[in-house]
Amino acid sequence: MALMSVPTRPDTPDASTVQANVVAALSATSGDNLAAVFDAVSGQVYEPQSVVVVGGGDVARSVANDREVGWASDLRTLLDDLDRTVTHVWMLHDDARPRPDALQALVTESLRVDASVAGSKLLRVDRPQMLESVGGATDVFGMPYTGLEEGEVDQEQYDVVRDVAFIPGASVLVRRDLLRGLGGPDALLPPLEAGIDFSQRARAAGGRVVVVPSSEVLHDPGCGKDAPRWRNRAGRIRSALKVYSILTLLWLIPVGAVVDLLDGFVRLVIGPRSAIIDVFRSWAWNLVQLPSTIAARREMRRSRQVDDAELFRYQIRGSSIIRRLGDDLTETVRGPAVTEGASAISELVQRGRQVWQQPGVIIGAIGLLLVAAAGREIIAGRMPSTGYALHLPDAAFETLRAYAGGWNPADLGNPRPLHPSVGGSALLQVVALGRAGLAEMLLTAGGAFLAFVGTSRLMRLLGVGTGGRFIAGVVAFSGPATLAMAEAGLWTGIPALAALPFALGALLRPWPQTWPARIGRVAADALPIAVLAVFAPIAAVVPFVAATLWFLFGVDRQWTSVARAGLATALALPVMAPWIVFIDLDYLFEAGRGFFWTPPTWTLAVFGVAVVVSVLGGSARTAAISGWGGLLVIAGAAAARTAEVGGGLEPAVAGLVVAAVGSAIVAGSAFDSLHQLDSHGTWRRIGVVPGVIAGLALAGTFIFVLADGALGFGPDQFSEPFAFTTARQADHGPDRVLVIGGEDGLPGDGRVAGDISYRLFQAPEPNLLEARLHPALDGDRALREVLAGLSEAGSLRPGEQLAPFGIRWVVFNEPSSLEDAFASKLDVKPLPLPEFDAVYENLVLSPVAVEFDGQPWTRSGDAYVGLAAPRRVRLAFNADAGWRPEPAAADWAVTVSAADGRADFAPDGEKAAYAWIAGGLLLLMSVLAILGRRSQR
Amino acid sequence: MKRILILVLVAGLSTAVFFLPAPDVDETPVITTTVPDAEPSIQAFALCPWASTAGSLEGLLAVMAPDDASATLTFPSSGEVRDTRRLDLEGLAGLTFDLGSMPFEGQMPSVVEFTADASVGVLGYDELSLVGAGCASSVPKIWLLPGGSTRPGDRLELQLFNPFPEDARVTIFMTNENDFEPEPSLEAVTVNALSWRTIDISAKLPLRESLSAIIEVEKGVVIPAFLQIGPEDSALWTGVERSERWEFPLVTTGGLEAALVLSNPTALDVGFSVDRFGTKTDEEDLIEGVVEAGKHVRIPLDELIAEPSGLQVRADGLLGAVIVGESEQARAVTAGAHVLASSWLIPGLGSLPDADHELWILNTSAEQVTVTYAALNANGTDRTEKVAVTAGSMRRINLSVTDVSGIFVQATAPITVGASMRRGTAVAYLSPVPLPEP
Repeated sequence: MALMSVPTRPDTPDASTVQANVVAALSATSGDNLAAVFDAVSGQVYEPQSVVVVGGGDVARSVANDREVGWASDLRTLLDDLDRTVTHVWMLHDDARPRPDALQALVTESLRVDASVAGSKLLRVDRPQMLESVGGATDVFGMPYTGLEEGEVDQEQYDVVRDVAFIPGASVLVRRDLLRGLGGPDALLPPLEAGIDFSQRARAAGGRVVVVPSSEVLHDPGCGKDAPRWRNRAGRIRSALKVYSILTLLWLIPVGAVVDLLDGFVRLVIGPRSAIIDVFRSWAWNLVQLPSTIAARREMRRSRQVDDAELFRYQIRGSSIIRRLGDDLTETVRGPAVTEGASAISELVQRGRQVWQQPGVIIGAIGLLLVAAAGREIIAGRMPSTGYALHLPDAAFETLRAYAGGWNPADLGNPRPLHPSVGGSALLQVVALGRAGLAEMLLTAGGAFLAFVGTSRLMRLLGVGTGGRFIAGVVAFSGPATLAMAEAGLWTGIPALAALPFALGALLRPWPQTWPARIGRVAADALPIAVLAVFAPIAAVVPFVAATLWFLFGVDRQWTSVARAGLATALALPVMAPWIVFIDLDYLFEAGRGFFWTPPTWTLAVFGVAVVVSVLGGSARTAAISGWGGLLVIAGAAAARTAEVGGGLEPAVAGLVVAAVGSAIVAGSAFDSLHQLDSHGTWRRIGVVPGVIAGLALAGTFIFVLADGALGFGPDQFSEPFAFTTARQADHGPDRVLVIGGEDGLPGDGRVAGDISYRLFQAPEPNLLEARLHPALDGDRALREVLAGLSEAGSLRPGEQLAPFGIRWVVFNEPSSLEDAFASKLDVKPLPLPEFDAVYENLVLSPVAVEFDGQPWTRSGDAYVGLAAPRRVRLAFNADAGWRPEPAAADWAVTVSAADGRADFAPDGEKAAYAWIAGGLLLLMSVLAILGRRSQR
Repeated sequence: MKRILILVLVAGLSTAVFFLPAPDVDETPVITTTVPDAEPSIQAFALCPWASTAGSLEGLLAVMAPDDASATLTFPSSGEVRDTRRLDLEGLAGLTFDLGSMPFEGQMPSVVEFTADASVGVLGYDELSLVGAGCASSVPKIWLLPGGSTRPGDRLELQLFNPFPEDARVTIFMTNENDFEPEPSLEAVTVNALSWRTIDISAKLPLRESLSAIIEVEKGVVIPAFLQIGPEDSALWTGVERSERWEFPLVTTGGLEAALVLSNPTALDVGFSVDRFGTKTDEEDLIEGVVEAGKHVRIPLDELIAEPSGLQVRADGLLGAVIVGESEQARAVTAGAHVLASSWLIPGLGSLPDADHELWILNTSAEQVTVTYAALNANGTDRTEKVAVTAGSMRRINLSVTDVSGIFVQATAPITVGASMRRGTAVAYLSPVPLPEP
């Protein structure tokens, strides 16, 4: 290699003060541009010691020979051959045209600020007044963010030497030793990504990376644009894999993948549609390149001087990809034809961009994607009918009528009030224009998303950073407690889970100054508690308990929060009417399927590590938050493990909801310790690491929820499998189904006869109104006796005994001792349905409503209709005087006159009044909360 | 300090929560109320695979009960119930139901449901023929039907009755004197719900001196019966279950040549011995032998037994056993008794006024028993007689009864009972039904 010595001009200003020996390394793509760049370099007022052409093949070598300058096949070769007296290398693209003082400015300023890497301000070679780059920031994924507007004119507005995350590689002055240690730019990456990668590595090696705007270089803006788009994406991934610590990569890789996928999928709509292919190609390319990436990472580790936090300092928050996606989305929504009202739209667009730049919005967008992926089957189809997660009836107003003092159709029916979740769900169904499936989706998938958002928001109010907020949100809707809740079909826990973080967050907000605002604040405090009470009644007291715990152990404590929580809870409780008025405490705490939460052992270990590490190793705030979350988890777990001591369904639901939010708080605060590393000593920093990993691990159950596709609810048990009842129904419509078997396989609550668990519901499938049972009435007891009799003595005609209860099908969901009572009998016929252990169809006519001469009546909404005649109709419901017309008890059942051709239940006025009061209170709270919010503004 | 306090609280409470008692896995919880002890309703039924009024054949169902009972007769056919009849019996009584009174004719297998202990038997007769059989009151998955034959002049039909509303499927394994008869058409035979199927074994396996069937019920319920149709008389017998012990109070009557047929449905050879009990003498180990796995043996008894005798078969495995009686004109087959009981009902015995009726008592115990027997009709007991049966002996009693529906037998100790009817040259062996010991 021949090096051309360019003598330093004696008349160079300040030449005597400059202590740098610079070699200009011109990276050549071909020989075409070299002449111009040679001229530009030779015109430098600060002359480099020598000029070397790097790369470009034989053509470039030939040009170099003609110009009598050196040539090196690549940068590594050049670095090996450089004289030790050379202090800096000026890497210059062959499409760059540095102004005469460009090198001088680079040398002068880099020495002045002790920078290891200094980049020039790039101006467009075709329009020299326009800026191409003044360095810039990246996001954590390496996506560049220059902050420049399209076509922004250089008015020296950026002319200050400053630290930047990256500088493009077109004109960079680098210390020779650093360049040698880093091995130069990564040849596998496109120019821009190579520049970003090099800047990141230089900073990680302890070097300072600055832009020197007084060094102006004209540059071809098309440089590197011929590389395929996916290579840019792939380059950023490779760069991240090389430079970040394992701890950072643990969360960066999955989050980056999710962001890339989100970008790819949204661009299927807004274009370019090939983006999704680019995503997969870029990740695949990195898989192929993994060995070389690992080698480069090892090399990087040798020269590493600072940790990731130093890199984060120069990065923007959030994701540039999401931000750009938001911009593009906004542009798409705005459309190309902007004529009238352009300024208003522009403002809207600007506001839209601002919205997308908020980390909360980005977290929310990712959360939405995660919830959509985890609940894809619910969104695409319908909520699986399982456990207590029973489908809403199609008629929302009939459900509301039943809730407001109407007939409770569970089992053989009763006049007792329905669970408030029925009323709440029906209200939402009305809002959803009566669409039951949409209402179910809003309650479950929507609830899960609100749980994510609410928990994330709660963590923000507690002062937790972005990462911790994200992790907390994920744990809230897919953590161990939530998963257990979903697996048991305890669906009411999901909307309750959505409400609880908002209820807790509301109490952390400041107490307003004006009375109107205060009234609004109390209403806003009470509103989420009211929702909580509707879906998980016992959990309504949790905000008060949580506020008290925070007052005892938290930071920034305010006694007013406790008082507000008490007041808000007192205001919210009446929304449970009429249910709460007509039940006794025993029923509240003991009724329903007992549940005993046994979390997997690994989650217990992870939870323990997260609490201990973050309480001991975190900041005072982190310790308080984590401890608070830990206490909530324990309180919730205690409630969810009361089955053996008499606890029923409600304590279990409330307990799991509290445990879910508590574990989210613990996970989020433990993970947040990552952002406090700077303020810790070495040992404490090391100690925090397990906590961060534990926080991440608690979010690991998301994998199970994702695999399930229905938020963990599992497969449909009571809808599709019972579709046979529609196909096999008699002319008068479907009758009842008796399900016998394991308690977990019963829809909602079950009843017990001897050692048999069973449940009765109206075909074709059990609905939400039938989920909860009240204590047995005469008819229920009669059915129990019949089943006990069949179990003990058997009968050749079990169908005859079950027909008076309106039972047409007997379904065994698992082997049962009662099966013998139905196998090989005269009036029941087995159906070959492989979904069940056994199914028998009653051959005896078994309508729920039937005239005494055997003529069945058909169901019409919540009534039964038939031919008007001077006869009596027997209804297979528990006898109650509310049925009309002319009700009379017939054994355990009820008969009414057939004179009107219609039989229905007259709503109880008292219960209806309570229901109206509850609805009105809910409405009032909503209005006051909105007015109070306006008043605060 | 605050951190430590929080940790101590969390740790302490966690420990307490961890040790909260878990429910038993098998526990069935929820809204529980005590189930009252229901008085078990006695449920009994009889499934009669064959009954007929075809042609000149008269058919009867004889129903007997030791106490108040109702019997519901159901006649399924082609997947539905053709008709239902109800009979009420007051006290110890018997009723005869004339199948000719039904609005249809031909084959009419039936289901009889009782509200108390009761029994039912089937009779069929015409000028030359007399058949009688019991009905099944259990539904095993393996039935044995030994004792058939397709020798020249005889026809053997297998009747498969499915009394329930579920299709049934059976596989029939036929064996001759020497070996298994491979017959693919007898594999996986479907019998439709509430229906029956008649298989002409003679057409499939003609000219076999001795044939036995092992019927495996793969799905549903099937009650099998063999109908052996001779030149004049016929024999009807219902499938038997398996037992290690069989007693035959009745071996032969009316000059029939008797043979003992033992069928082994198991996969192992079964050894057996036969003891003879005469009216005055008995003889242990009259015959000893082995029934090979999956086969049957037919043992002619005429040369071995000189006087009227009962037999007791003891085996070291599960066997099915019948006595076959045949002459030039007559055919009769009966299964042995595999349980001993103090009380027996013999539906149909005495119901044909122009027939000779015989009651056979076998006492294999070491004590003499006193046997009381009574003829029953709709009004109850018509006449009661007492006889003594000495230890280890059998006794034949000629009954002179008319217009009765059956015979009730009660002994001072467990015995076994047989019954036969003769009408002209035709002979029928009936199937007494033991009553549960009080």
